[in-house]
Amino acid sequence: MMMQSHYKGTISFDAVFSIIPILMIFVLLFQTIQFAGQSKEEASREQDLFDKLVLVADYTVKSGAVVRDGNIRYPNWIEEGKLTSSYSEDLRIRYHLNELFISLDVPEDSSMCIYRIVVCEDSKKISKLFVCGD
Amino acid sequence: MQTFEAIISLLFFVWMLSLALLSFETQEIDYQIYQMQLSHDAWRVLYLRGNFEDLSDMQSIEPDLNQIGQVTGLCLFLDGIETTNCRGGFDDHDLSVSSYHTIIFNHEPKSVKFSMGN
Repeated sequence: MMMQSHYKGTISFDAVFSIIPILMIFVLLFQTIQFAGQSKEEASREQDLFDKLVLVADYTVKSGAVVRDGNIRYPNWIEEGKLTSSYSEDLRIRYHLNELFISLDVPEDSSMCIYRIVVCEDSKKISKLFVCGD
Repeated sequence: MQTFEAIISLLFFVWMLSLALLSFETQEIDYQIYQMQLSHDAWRVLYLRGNFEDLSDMQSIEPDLNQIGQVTGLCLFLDGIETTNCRGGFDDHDLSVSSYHTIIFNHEPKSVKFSMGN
């Protein structure tokens, strides 16, 4: 009987001590999975924003702000007067963006920017069209 | 029994390690379509500037190639009429996009490979 209780105590002690590293491992595992999920979500959000900016820029250089002669459109030939704040605002709402900046001028500050190569006005000066957003 | 425990521990460790390594793998933005669009932009701008009208001298296209290079920092190569705005050949640059076009050069149709890189 004495021997039996002695063994039971040892096993309980053993179990208690083994639970601590197991718990630590599970906490570590949980944190790792959580971190992985967060970084993937962030990457997905950035890709989504980038894709939207690419769409907006493509629409702008192919149709939205191009020089027109009757029914003829001239892709990549930008009429600067069409790049108004209401034009940007319409696209911002359509693509569910928080901010949208479309201009031939260098943007001051924005979370993500892309550019397209265009010519502008009658002189056909080579310029960059910036599309930035958040 | 101890061997069995060691195997379980090893499997658990390998599983943990693979999860940790997977979590640190960075997912970069996919620029492929955008790069293709930029390459088409460059070609389109050269066209709009009248570079392919009556093209008989490859040097006539160089000022606009240089201008695009200055504005964007990109390297453009026209393989077929051997014209570029960057030093070195194809192998010296990280070319991201190439496309084939047909132009009239010296009153003859000529196929050129238009490449863009950094």
